[in-house]
Amino acid sequence: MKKIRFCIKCVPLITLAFLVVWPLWFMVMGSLMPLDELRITIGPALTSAEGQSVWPILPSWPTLQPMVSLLLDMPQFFTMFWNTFRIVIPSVVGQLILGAPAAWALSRFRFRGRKVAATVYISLMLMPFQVTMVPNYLVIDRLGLMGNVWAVILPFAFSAFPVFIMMRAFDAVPRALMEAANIDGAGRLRTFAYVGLPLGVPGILAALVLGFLETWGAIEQPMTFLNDPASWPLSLFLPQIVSEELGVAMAASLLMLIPAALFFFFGQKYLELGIQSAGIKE
Amino acid sequence: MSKAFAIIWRNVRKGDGPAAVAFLAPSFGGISVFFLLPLIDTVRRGFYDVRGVNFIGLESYISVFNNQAFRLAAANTLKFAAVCIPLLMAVSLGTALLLRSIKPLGRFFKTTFLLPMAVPVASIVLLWQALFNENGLANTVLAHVGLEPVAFMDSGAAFWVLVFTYLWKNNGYNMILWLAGLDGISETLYEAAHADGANALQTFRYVTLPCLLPTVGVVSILSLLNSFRVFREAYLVAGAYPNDSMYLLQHLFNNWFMNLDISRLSAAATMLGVALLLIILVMRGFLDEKD
Amino acid sequence: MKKWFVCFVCAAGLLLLATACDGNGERGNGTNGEAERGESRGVEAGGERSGRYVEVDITPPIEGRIISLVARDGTLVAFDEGLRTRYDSGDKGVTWTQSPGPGASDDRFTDVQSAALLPDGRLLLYLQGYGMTKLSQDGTTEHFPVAEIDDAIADGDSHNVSLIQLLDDQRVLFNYNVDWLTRFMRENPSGMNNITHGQSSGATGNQTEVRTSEVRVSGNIAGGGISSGGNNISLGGMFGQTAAIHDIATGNLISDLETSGTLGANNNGDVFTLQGHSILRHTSDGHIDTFLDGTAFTFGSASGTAAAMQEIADGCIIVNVLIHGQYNRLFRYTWDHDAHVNPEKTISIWSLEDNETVRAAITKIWRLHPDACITYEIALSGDNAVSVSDAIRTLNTRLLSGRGPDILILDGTPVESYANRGMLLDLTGRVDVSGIYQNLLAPYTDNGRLHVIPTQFMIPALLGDRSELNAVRTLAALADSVINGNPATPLISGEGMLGGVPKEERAQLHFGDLRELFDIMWQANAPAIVDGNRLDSDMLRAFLEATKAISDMYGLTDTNEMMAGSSFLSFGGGGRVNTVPASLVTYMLQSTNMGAFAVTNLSLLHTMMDRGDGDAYIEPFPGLAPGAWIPSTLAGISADTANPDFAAAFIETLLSVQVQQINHGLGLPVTRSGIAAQINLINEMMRERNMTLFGFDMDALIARLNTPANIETTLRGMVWETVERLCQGRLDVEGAVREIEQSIRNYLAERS
Repeated sequence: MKKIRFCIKCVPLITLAFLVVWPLWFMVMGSLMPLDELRITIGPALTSAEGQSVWPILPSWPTLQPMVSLLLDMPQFFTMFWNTFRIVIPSVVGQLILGAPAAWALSRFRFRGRKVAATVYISLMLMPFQVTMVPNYLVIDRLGLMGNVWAVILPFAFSAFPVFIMMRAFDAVPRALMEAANIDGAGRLRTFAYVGLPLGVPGILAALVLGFLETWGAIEQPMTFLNDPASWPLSLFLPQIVSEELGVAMAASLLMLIPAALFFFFGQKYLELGIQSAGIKE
Repeated sequence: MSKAFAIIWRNVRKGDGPAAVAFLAPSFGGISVFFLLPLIDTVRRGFYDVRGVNFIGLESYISVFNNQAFRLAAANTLKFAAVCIPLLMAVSLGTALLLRSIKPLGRFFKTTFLLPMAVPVASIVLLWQALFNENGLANTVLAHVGLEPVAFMDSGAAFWVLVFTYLWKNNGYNMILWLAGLDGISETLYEAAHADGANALQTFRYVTLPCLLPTVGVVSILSLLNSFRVFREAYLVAGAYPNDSMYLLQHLFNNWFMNLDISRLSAAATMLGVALLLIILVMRGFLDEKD
Repeated sequence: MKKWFVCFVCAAGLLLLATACDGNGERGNGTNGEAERGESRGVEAGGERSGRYVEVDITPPIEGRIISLVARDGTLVAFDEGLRTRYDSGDKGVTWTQSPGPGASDDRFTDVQSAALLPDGRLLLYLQGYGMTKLSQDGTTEHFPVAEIDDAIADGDSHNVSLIQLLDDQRVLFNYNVDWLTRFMRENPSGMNNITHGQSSGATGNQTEVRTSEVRVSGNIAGGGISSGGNNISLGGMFGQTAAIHDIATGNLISDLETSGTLGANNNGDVFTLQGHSILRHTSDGHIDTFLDGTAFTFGSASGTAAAMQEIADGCIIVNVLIHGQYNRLFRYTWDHDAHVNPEKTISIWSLEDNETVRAAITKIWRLHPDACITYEIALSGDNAVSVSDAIRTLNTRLLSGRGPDILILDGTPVESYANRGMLLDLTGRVDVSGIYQNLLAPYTDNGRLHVIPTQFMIPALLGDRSELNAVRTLAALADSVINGNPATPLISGEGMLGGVPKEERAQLHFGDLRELFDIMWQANAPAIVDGNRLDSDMLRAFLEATKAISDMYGLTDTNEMMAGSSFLSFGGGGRVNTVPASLVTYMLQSTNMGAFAVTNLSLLHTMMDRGDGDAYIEPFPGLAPGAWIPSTLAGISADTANPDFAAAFIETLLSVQVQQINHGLGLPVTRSGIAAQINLINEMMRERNMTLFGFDMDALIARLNTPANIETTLRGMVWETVERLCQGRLDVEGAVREIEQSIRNYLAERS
């Protein structure tokens, strides 16, 4: 009886899991598929060729050819790969250094204007990029950053989203602990460093993972603020080869996914904890 | 000016004020420069002509209100939010509840459901084209089952493709949020309900749901945020002029920008901003801690 | 307590700074010196840095071909054609001393293209059919054995050595031209099926790939052309180039160079090539950078191509430039540190795609104003495939924040929005437009104001016998005549590549692919379909029905069947490549009765009308909008420009006869004088060759034009997507009408 109920519960979950994994499976297999086979299988959907797309579970003749041609014949792939890191790492580091204290203040300090400040952060977090693009361009131009990677990094580093996530995480830090620290003579900075940060680690790391994923896939900002294609990140490389070569596009998609996925897997535990702490109420 | 500053400072000095200023200053400074100032400039541009030189008052606002494209986009955006946010919340809550009840495989499913978050937009675009093109894979599957092919991107179905994308990407994230909320409900409440002879449905209705209310605030804010983000997928898959059913406000914003119509874009954006602010103010009740 | 806060904030700042320096350091490396020029998008002429290269014409008194070389001691040596006279200059070309050359009384050397001066004073050169030769001043020759060349001659290959350059006392650089097409045809006498031609790279790069079922050849086109006459067409001059370094004592191969189209090398092992408008340097460790950007120089201009270059001491560069493919000039380039740039003559030009006309105008205005600084930015340049909308988004961002370029070339962009929103200056009174055909200017004049000027234009047209053209005066009549006519015959048959068809079996029209048909149809019908902010459904239906009927008749959606390749290449003067649309090729080959194309090139039009049978005539394409024409190189000046006067001077340069009289492949001149000058040039050439003069009344044809077609990329893209699916049979006409109506509805609503 119990087993049957267990199975009944598993069915919807497995269906959902299948829906999630199905497209990803295609991508992995697609990058191992020779070009001729790709043309037949998904060519009709991606190019204007006639016919109906089909997708075998496994490639009939697996090959690393597209992967190799991407890595060996396209030197710009590597450049863009490193460009991506040059943008992502300072952005994420900035988010933590700037965001964590702000989130702590918004979450744990009692002061006038706290609610207003928190509302400002949340509203800014929700604003679409198109809305502030022109004035943003003006600001960056005025700061003399145009064309510099910092034109992309700084707005990301000051993003409101990680502050929000960390704020929720710090909300879960019990006030009793803070008071205890206070009684022990710790100042606010020490309380933050010795109580807030350790207890907020899941939230902080969750913000880090989310910030990484966001900057990793950024398209509009580097496109607008970096006028030299030599410093463009990988996210701008993918859309352009989609139109040219199927195999390479598949391989590039996969290679682009890998660092994000790795980062994600290593950070997943914290991401979960962090997202959870955002949901927990005192 | 200095008097106003003195008043503010006096207020700030109370309690954690100075510490808060020090903690917030770096982040808030940057936010002001990179987001707040641009936002204020956007509001200003809504009242000026395209070059930002001549004041034109409410002309842009009136023009936006009377614009058919704006009405369609606003209605679609509202519809999208109204459909997909509750849907996502329901689906992810269901997933969370199911996951809690089958502990052994929980970890595997959690990982699986979170995975789509890591897929970069550009990859999704490629996948979606392969899936939802007229002779794409989804139609091949439909043909195998004996159903008529659907023009996914060129009919009303496009809206549901967008909803599916949104659910696909965000279900795992929201599920974890719900799991946290569920973990926070103390066992004693369930035991009490059990002792009173409540069945599963009643327990859910009278114990689980009320206890989850605080989580609803966060989940809905983040769902709203992510519903804006799905535009990028929509734009890259279906272009600047997609099927009517998935023509969102951001398509309009994007196209107005391409067309150099910055005054109306700013006016419409300001209206959107005000609407969002109202929503946030309403939700703040949920978001704020109880103490 | 407070100290802690300060420390924390400082630490955060320091950390950020530390990462910042890291990033800046990496960037810094790239921005030094000339290396950056290659990386920066667009082209800088003059440059904002202090100093720039200055071009000096040092041509010795030679008319016609010049063979130039640099001796080991730095002396410049030049010969005229046939090595009749020798000129020496010890002062980098300032003065030349004349002496008789080895060819003064010997006419064996008329084919010599290049030569090197050996340390023993003899010349090393290539004699056609004989091989590499050492030539003494007294005319005695000695064979210099080079296995690769001697073998090719023994095989009967049409082999040529276009460049010989001494690197040092041991090594010499050769650049061979191999006529791949001749070799291929000899080796595969019946294998001419399935030849497709695709053009890659820019107009001056001349990279052409000949793909066949058996072999794949890639190389540079050195010259040649399509000529027609009777029943055949000859495609000549597909040269593959290879460069190699040989030992000067033994003739043995030392190393093959991977770079084709070599202009020269220096003794550091750097090799120079011409790519587009710039000379690139390939260092021996594989690094490539832009050595000399030619936008402002003769070798980068529309009329010139660099043929050879030498780097002599102290940063002085000598470039031998072939002008109009007919004669050479020698130029010296030296870096001038103190070159003065006048801030009032600093302008930037933006265009979506590389525009030869703009380049010609830059060259011209820079000659008139050497203190000008002109930056030309091409949004969709080369290999970084930015999409059109990305490029426009970036442009708009810059314009809206007042940091836009001074001059906008608006082809492919939503032109009206730039004009209507006050982003562009009123050009009335600033630019003299009196020379422009007034009916072409009228649609751009709005309440007496003029924000954009088309500086070139095209006419969608139908070419054929007068009687044929008279029968198809409307779109419906054209579609009917196509349907009731003959099916299309394959251009390349099993028998041979090219052949005509008897008149009674010819199809009415033909196209290379659906896109070619769509383009001409859209150009000729768009003004009737979308008029201002209205979409006319009936017109749209008529347009779709006709397009579908023609596409179905000729099977245009089956890509690989009837026509291999959508276009053919012909070569204009100076090695410039023009694309001849497939519809014209079939007409010229006498397998169709009519050809549909956008007239951009008067000499091509003249060749076509001279097909040889019947009385060819040309009419505007019978679309739903009679009198539709296509504006090209639409120019406007940003309202925020700091130098409106110089910007206006630039637009006047675009309209000047000198720029307008050259065919840049982008359209016809908009000025009367430009049209007249082009016709004059054609007629001069025709008179020389005793051929028919250009007799067609262009003024009368142009006078019939009234409505510019909408060339906005977004709109055309939306219609094209649906048309493609319609013609593939995935949609019916009603479905297509509904789909276009729906997608255009939002497009139009946004603009209302």
